[in-house]
Amino acid sequence: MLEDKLLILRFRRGDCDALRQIYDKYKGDLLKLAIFLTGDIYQSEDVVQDVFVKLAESHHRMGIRNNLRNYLITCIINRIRTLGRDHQRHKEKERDQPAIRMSQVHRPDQWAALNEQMHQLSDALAQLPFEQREVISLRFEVGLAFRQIAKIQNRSINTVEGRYRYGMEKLRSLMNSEVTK
Amino acid sequence: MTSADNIERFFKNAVVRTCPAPDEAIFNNIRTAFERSVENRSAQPKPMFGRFTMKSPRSKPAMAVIVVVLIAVVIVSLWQDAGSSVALADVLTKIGQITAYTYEISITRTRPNQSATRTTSTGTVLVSNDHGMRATIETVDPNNERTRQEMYILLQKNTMVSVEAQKKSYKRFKLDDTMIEGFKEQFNDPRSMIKKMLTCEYTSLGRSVIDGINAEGFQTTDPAYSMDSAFGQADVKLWVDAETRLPVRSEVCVTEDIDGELRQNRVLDNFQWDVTADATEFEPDIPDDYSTRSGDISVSAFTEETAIKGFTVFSDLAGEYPDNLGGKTFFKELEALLAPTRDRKRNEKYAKLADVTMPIGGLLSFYQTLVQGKKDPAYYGEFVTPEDAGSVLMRWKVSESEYRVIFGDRHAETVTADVLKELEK
Repeated sequence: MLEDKLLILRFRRGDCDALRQIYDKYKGDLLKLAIFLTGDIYQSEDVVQDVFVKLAESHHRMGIRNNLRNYLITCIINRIRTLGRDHQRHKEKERDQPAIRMSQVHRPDQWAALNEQMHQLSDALAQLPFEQREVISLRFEVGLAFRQIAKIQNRSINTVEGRYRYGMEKLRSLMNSEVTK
Repeated sequence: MTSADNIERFFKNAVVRTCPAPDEAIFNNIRTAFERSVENRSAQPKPMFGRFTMKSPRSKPAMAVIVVVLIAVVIVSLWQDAGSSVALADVLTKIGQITAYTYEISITRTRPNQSATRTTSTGTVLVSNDHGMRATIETVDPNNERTRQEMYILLQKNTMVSVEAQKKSYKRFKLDDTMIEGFKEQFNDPRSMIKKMLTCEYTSLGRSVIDGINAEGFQTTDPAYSMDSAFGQADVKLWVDAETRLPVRSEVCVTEDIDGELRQNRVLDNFQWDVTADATEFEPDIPDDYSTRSGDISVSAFTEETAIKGFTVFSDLAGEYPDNLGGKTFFKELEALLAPTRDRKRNEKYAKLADVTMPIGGLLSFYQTLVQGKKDPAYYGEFVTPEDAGSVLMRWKVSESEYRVIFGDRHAETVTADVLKELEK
């Protein structure tokens, strides 16, 4: 925690090394979360890059008392939810059901490299409705309580718990078939 | 795979790594955005002192003591601002030959986006190389209430006196030799202030007639001028008598960002150069019915020891260090520190109010001297506690390769720049 506070302080003072350390420390986790949430590796790379660019542009507004990890995670969630709303205006289905499976994706200039478990999990999560995917990702990847997720989704805790149960049921079924392949 | 635990394990084992080539390209984009933002930001004002909010009647006197100390620093800076906008060698020579002079000062503070926020201070200042400085300032606040203050810096008595007529009160500060020498240097050597202008880009305003004097004007808006200043981004204009090569008028417009835009215009004019300054003019005029609540207040030089004492007092009372030294929240923190609920604790360890306020004022002033001296100071009080013996609380440069560091437990060491880098990681 103190390490992050020092990083923020140096970052606020315009220290590029501090920005580099923040980037190196959090880029992997943020990419992972973004891939879980979007089910789209291209979009995730863009989202994480956008969040870091926004962070860089607003360095002077970064509060020293902010929890850096939570701040970045919140930025990712907000960015993806905004993109989701934009997508919904055009194509309701697209957000819920990515056309390409993650394990089939790779391009020469690809930023994110996924291990086998990441491929399996992201492919399985991508088959869940967005709201269920979000609850499970925030629960397992970020470690949020249902109460916190309910606040993010602006729904009751019961609704969130319901989404969790349905999502987990489907995920278990999907992951079982992956494992037994 | 039937349990949530197994799913959780899958989440933990799922890993995303980044490929080096695109990783560098992406970071370069981010770095470019960062450097652009830093560059834009550095061109904006950097407020140092926050608004003096004094809600508690009990804390007002204490705050006032600190404010008086800061005012002394401000007055010196005012003169620095005025003198430094001339960068002509013969002006430097001329000023060096002057032993005493007077000028009139007018300061107007407004918030352009708010109504009824205009505060005006006007007065006269007499400066003598031998005796010190005397300033008479009258302030009219937005409610049209007037206050009048006389301030003396008496070089031969190592004393600073502030007299307020409305309250029939005065405060007397005993300054040590180092502080007096510092003041002397400021008064006797305005050349060092003018040299500041030499480091900036400035333009000629050409010839014009100022108060009937044929004068040559100069202007600078160079951010470098304000870089080490506590008072925001400045637009400085100065006119010099074309014949005598001595300043006749200066205008400094400073825009600060303190809870919104705050604009301050300072005008120094009606200079009378080489006046006769009698010692009697530097004898504070304190009527018999005036009183002081503080007694004589000792003001130490702004040194490392002053800073450590300030930190000790603050942490004794608050259990932590101030978040910043003179920023927006500092005076609120200090006000809370001096609130009535803290009285018992304060009385146990610090008998007089000045025992609290002077070390803290000294700490602020010390940090300000580091800023103004471009000693690369940094302060980490927002997250370093008195228990953090190994954490850097404050540091400043003492040589090309060395820094002086005050740690969280308030011991001080000199370390190399490389060691400091490790300590600040």
